[in-house]
Amino acid sequence: MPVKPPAHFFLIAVSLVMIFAASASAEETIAVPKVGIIATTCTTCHGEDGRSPGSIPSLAGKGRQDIIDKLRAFKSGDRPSTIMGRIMVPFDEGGIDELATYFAARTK
Amino acid sequence: MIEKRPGFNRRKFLSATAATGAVAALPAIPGCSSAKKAKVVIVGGGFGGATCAKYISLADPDIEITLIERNRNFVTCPFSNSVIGGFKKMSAITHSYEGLLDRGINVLIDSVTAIDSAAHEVTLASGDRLSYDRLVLSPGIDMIWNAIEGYDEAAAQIMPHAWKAGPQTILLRNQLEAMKDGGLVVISAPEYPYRCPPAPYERASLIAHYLARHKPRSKIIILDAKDKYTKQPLFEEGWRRLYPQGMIEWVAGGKGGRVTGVDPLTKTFFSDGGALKADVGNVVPPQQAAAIARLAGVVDDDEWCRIDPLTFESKTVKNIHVLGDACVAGAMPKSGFSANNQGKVTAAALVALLNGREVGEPFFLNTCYSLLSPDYGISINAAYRATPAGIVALLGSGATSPLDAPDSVRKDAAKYAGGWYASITGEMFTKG
Repeated sequence: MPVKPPAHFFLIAVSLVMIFAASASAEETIAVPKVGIIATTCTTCHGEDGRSPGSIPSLAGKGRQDIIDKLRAFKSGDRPSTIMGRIMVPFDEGGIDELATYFAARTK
Repeated sequence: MIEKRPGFNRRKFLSATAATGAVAALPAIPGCSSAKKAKVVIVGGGFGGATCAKYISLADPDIEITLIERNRNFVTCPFSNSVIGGFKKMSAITHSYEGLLDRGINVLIDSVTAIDSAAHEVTLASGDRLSYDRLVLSPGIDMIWNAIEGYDEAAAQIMPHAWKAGPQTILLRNQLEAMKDGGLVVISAPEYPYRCPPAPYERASLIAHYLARHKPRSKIIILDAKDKYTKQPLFEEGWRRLYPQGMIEWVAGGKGGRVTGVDPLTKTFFSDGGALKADVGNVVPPQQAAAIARLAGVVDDDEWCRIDPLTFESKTVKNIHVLGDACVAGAMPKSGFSANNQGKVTAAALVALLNGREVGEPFFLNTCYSLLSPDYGISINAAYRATPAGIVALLGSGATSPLDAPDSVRKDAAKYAGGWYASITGEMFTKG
């Protein structure tokens, strides 16, 4: 038997639908209610807790504003990238802010 | 109870565990005397299971986690095509579970022979029994033998699938090394769904990388059950840029590419297009959720597992969660990246459930890098959310590398593919 989704899950689903209906944009942004879950999707490439062991830049302990500036620039295309411009599509200003706060607070 | 003590050798521990089947007596946190609040048993130590184990332990050290894995080491499918292409060693894609053990996760090298979902109990080949509050299955795939007539386990020793990394990877590599210049390599690719959608085409690319340098008169033919495939324009562009014209030929399903049978004795593929005899034959057969899922009773008629998209709990058996390639995760492809994100979402859901908290809304990413040569990478990515109807891609979030990008961009993507590998396997296998 599946677990019953929490009631607010449906509310968020409904509110997203309303946002799409109200917007002419074909791009969907994600609400960031659980930044931990969102942030851990970043770490698949950027390393556990944002500490990268390889060629991808680390995020842990970077300046919050620095992360915000870079993510905005990736999203707008002002900063060229192989993939970050595409990755940033579903993140709005609120999401960028929360992710930057999260990773700035990680230990280097 | 075995205590962690100075000089305790983890390698010996793993061996002893495998030999004696000593189970359940291992403290999850050595030296911690308090009883654990709940038991989670995870079957399968790949991208889904190992990540899930790690992230539960990060989020709640009071949950006792036992990871059951058949193999002493995990050999990744990602970058196994680089071994087949001759520029990575097996050791570079082989990982041990010692980091997870050092985190206090019970790692048992054993296999599951029975699951009693009513009693919440798992029986191991060693005869030991483990009880669980929640069971996580991340078992990956099995081949469907004889779905392609004549292709069974014995045939796979002659015409490898190399779709589970390990001895099959080495077998295919050895066959390529033994092949004469001017030989024909045939790869058959199945209909969706299967593990790692772009992998047959990455494999053809990296075999071409080897052949172009060492056996330049050779040729690769991909016999495909499909009429189109992922990142197709990018692969075709890359092949034009990197390899002699005609070295890689792709045959669509509608044009005779759909393989219905093989003859392993002569390495012959049979399709609507007729018979094609290979010097090296690589059969990627149709696949299904691995056998353990059937044992648990969580597979549907199509041999895959339906799950609740919020928690990955099976829709058929309560308290059993299925993730990774074995589950149907809506729009998410069967990839190591997907399984990693599903492992994290499942970990967060289990920690919430076992602490009586509300389960959060999941969010997932997937990126599949493919290498067309050691210095030429491309990628596809998307973001996903869970809806009551299933996991869907966020509108506008899915895209691929652009066509006509300069070599420097492809080189950067190849570099980042390696960086991704270091990060994802680090998350899985380091103590953290």
